[in-house]
Amino acid sequence: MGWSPRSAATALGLLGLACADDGPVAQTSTSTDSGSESAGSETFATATSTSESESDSGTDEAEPIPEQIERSVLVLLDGVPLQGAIVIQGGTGVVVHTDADGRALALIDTTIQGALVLMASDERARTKASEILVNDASEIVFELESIEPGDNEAYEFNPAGVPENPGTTAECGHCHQAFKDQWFGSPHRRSASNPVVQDIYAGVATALADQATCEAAGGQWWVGVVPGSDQLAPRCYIGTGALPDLNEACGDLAACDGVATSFGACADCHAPAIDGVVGGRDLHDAIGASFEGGVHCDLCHKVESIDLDGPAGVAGRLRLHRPVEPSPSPSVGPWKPLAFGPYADVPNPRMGASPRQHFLTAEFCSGCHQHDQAALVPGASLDLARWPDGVFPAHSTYEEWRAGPFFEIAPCSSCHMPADPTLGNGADLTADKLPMQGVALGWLRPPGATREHTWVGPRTPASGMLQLAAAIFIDKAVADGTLTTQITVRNAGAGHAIPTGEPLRSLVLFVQARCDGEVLTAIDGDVIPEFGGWLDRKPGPEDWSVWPGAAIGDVVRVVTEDGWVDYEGFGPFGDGSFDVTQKGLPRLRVVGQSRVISVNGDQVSFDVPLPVGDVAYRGRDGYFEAGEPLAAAAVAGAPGFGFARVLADENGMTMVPHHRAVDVVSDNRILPQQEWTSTHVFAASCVDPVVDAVLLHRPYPVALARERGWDDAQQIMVEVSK
Amino acid sequence: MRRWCWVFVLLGAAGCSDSGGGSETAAESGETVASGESESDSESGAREDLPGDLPSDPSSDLPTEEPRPELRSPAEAEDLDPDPDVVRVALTAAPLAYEIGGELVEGWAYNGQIPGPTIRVERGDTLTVEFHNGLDSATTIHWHGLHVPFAMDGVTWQGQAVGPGEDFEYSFEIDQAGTYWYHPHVDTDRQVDLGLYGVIVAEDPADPVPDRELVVVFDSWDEFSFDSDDESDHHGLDGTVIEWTANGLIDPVFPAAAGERIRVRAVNVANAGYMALSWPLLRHIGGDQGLLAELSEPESVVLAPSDRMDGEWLIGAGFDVIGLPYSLLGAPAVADERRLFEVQVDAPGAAPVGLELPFDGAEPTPDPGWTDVLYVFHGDPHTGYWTINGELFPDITIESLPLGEWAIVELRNVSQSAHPFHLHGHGFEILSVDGVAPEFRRLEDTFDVAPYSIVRIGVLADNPGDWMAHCHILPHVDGGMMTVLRVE
Repeated sequence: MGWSPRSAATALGLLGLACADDGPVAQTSTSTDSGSESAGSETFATATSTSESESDSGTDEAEPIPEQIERSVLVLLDGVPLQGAIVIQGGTGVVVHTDADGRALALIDTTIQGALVLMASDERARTKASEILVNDASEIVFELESIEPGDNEAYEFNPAGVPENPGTTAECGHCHQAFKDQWFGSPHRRSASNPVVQDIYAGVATALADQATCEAAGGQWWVGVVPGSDQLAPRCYIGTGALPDLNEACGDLAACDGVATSFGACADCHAPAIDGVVGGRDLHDAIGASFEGGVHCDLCHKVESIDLDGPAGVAGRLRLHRPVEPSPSPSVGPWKPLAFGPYADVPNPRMGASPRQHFLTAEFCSGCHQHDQAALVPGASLDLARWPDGVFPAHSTYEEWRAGPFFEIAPCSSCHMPADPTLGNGADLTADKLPMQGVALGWLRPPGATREHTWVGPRTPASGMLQLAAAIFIDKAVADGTLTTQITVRNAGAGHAIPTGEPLRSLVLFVQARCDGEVLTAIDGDVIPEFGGWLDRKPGPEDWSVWPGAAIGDVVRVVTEDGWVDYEGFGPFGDGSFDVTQKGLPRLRVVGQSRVISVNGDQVSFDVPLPVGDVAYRGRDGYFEAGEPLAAAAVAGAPGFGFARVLADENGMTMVPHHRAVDVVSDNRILPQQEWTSTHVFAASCVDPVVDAVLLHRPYPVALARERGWDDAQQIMVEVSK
Repeated sequence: MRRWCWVFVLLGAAGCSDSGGGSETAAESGETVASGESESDSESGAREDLPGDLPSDPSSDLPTEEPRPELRSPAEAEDLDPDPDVVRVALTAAPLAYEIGGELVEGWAYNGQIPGPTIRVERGDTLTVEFHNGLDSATTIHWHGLHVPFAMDGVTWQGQAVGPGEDFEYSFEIDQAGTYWYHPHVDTDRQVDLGLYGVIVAEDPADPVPDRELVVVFDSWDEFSFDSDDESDHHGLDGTVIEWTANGLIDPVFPAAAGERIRVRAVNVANAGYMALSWPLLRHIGGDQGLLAELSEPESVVLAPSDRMDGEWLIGAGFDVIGLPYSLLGAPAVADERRLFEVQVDAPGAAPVGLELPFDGAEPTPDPGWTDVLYVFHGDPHTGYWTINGELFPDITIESLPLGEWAIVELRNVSQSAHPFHLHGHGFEILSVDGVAPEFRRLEDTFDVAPYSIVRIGVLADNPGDWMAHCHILPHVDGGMMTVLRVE
C-alpha cells in the first residue's frame, strides 16, 4: 500500500455533465444541488453522504491520502434496501454487490486520475453516482428509483447525428463522436435507405431513372413514394416486390405505394426506429431519422430485453422500452432519459443508463438476424412435409452460430464489433483527457471494453472480413496426361455459414489450370451450379444452335447431370431430415463449352461444335476470362463450384427475394469450420500444371441485379494458385 | 503478474484479489523471502530473512523517501561440469516469499530467486539441467525458443509432469545463439505468474563481445484479469498492467559509464501484458531467434508476452527506458507512458561506436501463396474461451507436417485481441503480414498476430514430435487457445 499523489482536497468529483468537448467541464466541486438545470443535480442529491459538512474535505491540500480507502455503502430501491446491486468505482472495474441489507463495503482506489466516484447500479433502475469525499467516512446512500414499466409510443427517437458535425446534445453523436462516425459507415445505418431494400420492397428499379430506360427494360413508369420522404414522383416499377407481391390486386395498373395494407413486417427490422406504434408499419413510413439512420443508437439502446419466442424485429424479439416518466428538467428533453447498455458504470443522468447483459450476447443480434418465415404471398403455402413448423429459415445467422463451434464461445460482437484501441471508453476518452475522467467523460476502461460500432462484414469491404472468412486448399495430381485437382473451400473464419444473412448472396468458386500460360481444357469435374446464373438454359436434346438474345462472345457451357450433391448443410439439409434428392442440388459435371462467334437472328455459330450433354447454359466469361473480373456474370456450368441457400417461389423460380419464397430448395452453404471439396479434371500438356482457384462473394443473383440495375460488384474472398 | 495472493502488505492490510490460496505468511512458513527493492549481498537479490529496511512501525502512515533500487542482471546458474562443451546446472523450484514495491508476495522461484538464474551457454554446448521439484504441485520446464528434442520440451502432451519432490534431468544440445527463456508448461498461467521463469543466454563465439551485458526481465504486477462472466465487469481483455517490474524491481536505476557498449537482453514474461519498449537512439540488434538480419533503429520495439529483444547501448549520457502504453489489442493503449528503469551515468561523455555485429542482411523467403496448415484464432473476453480453428484444447485436431518439409502455415486472427503465436521445437520465418513481406528475413518463435490480420509463416519441419502451438497470452491458453502440430 502506498500514497496517492492526490491530496485530499483534490480527491473530489468532477461533476460536469456535458461532453468533454463542450468546454471547461471539469468543475471540481462537491456540490450536489447547484440549483442549475443540470440533470446531475438529481443524481447527486439522491446519492448522499450522511455528512456533507466537509464539502471541501476540510484537510490541508498538501496532506497525502492513502492509495486505498474504504466506504460503507447502502443501496435502496424505492426506499427499500436492495440486495445484489452493483457497486463500482469509476475507473477501477472492481465490483462489489450489496448484501441482503442493501449494504456493501467498497474499497476506493484514490490513485485514479480524475473524479473519485462510486456508482450503484441495478437492472430495475437508472445508475446513480456519488462522489467520494476522502475525509468523510460516513456511509454513502444510493436511492435508486425503479424505471416505470411500459413502452412510450409518444417518445421520439433521438437522432445519431452525422460525421464532421458535432451537432447538439440532442444527438447521441455529440458526446459519442467516434461511435457516431463508425455507425455512419456501417450497414446498420443504411438498413432503410439502402436502395436495394427499397427496390425489393416496392418492386422498383431506382437505377432506371427515366421513363425510356425503364420501359425499355420492361418496367412501368408510375408515380409512387420517394423513399425516405412524403413526396410522390414517377419511378420505375419492375419485377417483384414485397408490396405488389403481398397485396392482392395491387401493382397491376399503378404502384402499390399508399394502397397496400400488408407490409410483410419489413420495417420491423429495416426501419425499426419509426416513431409511434411498433409493428405493422409500412417501410415508407420511415422518414427522416428513421430512414436516414436505419438501426441507430437510440433504437438499439432502447431495447430493454429479448424475447426469443417472438418474430424478428421490434414488434417481436426486440422489446423496446421508451421512457414513460416525464423529464425532470427541460434540459434533457420531454422524457426522463433512459438508455440500456452493457456496463454498470455509466451514471450520467443525461443518459439515464441501466445495465443489460443482452448487449454482449448473440441473442440481441438474433433480434433481426434470425428470421423464420411463413409463406407471405397470398395463396401461397409451404410444403409442410418439408417445413412441418410452417416456417422456413429465411435468415438463420443466429441459429447457424448456435449450432456451430462458437456457440457460448464467441458471440457476434466478438468478430463484428472490433475493439477500438484508440479510445478509453465510449465517450471518446483519450490519454490527454485522463485527468478529466468523471461523470461526463466516464472513466478509462480496459483494452477491449470499447467496441467499434462498425458491424464489419461483407458490406464493409475495407474490414477484410470476407478475406478472413474462407480458405482454399489445393491438391493436384497428373497421370496419363490428365490433371486431377481437388479444391477444398473451408469456412475458416466465420462463426456462421458462408454466405449467411440475406439469401440472395452466394459464393462462386472458379477453377482453372495452366501450363506455361496455356489455359487447359476442362474435361470433367464439378461446375458452378445454376445459381451461378445463366442467360438462357436449354436441356438436351433441344436445338442448341438457336439462342434468342445471344451476343457474340457469349459462352455456352454444356454439362451432364449426375445425380445429386450430398452435402451436410444447415438444419434439415444436414441433420438427416432430408435425403440427397430433397437436398435439391443437382450434381453437374463438365462436358465442354463453345463461344458464340456469330449471330444471325436467333441462330448462332460457335468457335467449336457444342459437345453432347444434358443441359446447356448460355452465359458470359467467368472470372479468369473476363476483362472486368469483379462484375458478376452468368457462369453456371463453368469449372468450379458454388455455395448458396436457394429460395424458390410458388412458381419454382429460384434465388427469389425471401418475401416471395415458399421453399428452400437447396442450402449447401458452408457451416463454421466445415469444408467442401470439389474435383476438377483437365487435359494436361505439362508435367506440373498450375491450378488457380478463386472464391468470390456475390451479393445478388445475376438476373435480379441486371433487372434492377444494381451495383453487383463481387468481392474476392480468397485467391490461391498452386 | 496478477495478485494471486498477497500474504500481507507492508504498511497496511490487504487481501487476495484473485485468490490462489497461500494464506501462510513467509515468517510462519519459514520460506525464503526475497526482496527486490533492497538488494542483498548476493547478485540474485534473494534474502534469508525479512527485509531489515522495512519501517519498524507498521502503523506509521508517513511516506519515506527511499533510495531507488539498483537494477542488476539476475544471478547466473553455476556450471557444475568442467567440460567446456557441457553446461550442467541445477535448478530447484520451490516456494519463495518476496517483495514487490513494498508488498510481500508468496510466490514460486527457481533456486530462490526471481527471475530464476540465467543459464549461459555457447552455441554447440550440451546443456544438462538437474531439476528438482520442491513444490507441492507438478511442474515442468519448457525451454522457450530452443529447438530441443520433443522429450525435453517440458510439455505434458504425451508426457508426464515432474511431480512434487521428484527429479528430472533435461539434456539437449543447443545449436542456436540468442536470448531465450525457460518456464513451466503445466498450469502455466499460474506458475509463471508466481515467479517461475529465467533467461537462457546462448552466445555465439563468433559475435563481438560487448563491455557488459544486462539481462532484464519485465513482468507485470497488479495485472487485472477481465476475463470473466461477472455481469458487472467491463468485459475488457486481460493485460491491463498497473505496474511493470524490471527483474522484480519497480523503477530501478542501472548505473553505467560513458563509453560502455552494453548488450541488453530483454524478455517480457508477463502473462498478458504488452509493452512498447523505448529509449533514445534505440539500436535493435536481436530478436526471438538471435541476431536480426539487419540493425534496426525504431522508435520502440513491441514486446508481446514471451517476446525477447536484444539491444545495444552505446553509453554517452544517462537515459530513461520507457514502456510506452501498448495493449493486447495490438495497438498503442490509452494510458500514460511509464519509466521502467533509468540508465544513470554520473559522468557523461562521448558514446562509443557500435560493435561490428555479423548481420547477414538476408532477404525474406518468397511466399509461394498456398497454405499447408491454417490456424484461425477466435474468442471473446467475456466468455473466457479462446479457440484455434474453433477448437478448445485439449480437444483438438492434430495437423501434420512431413519431416524435413518447408511448410507454409497461415495464421488468421478473427478476434479483438492480438495473439502472440508460439510454436514449440522450431523457429519460423515471417513470410508476410497482411500480404506484405518483411524488409529482411525475420526469424521468430513467437509472433504477434494483430486483430483481424493474416500472418503467413514458413516452418522448416526438421524436429520430429508433437509440438504445442499456442497463443502466449497465458489466460488465452487457459481458455483453450492451444493445439498440436505434428512433425513426422
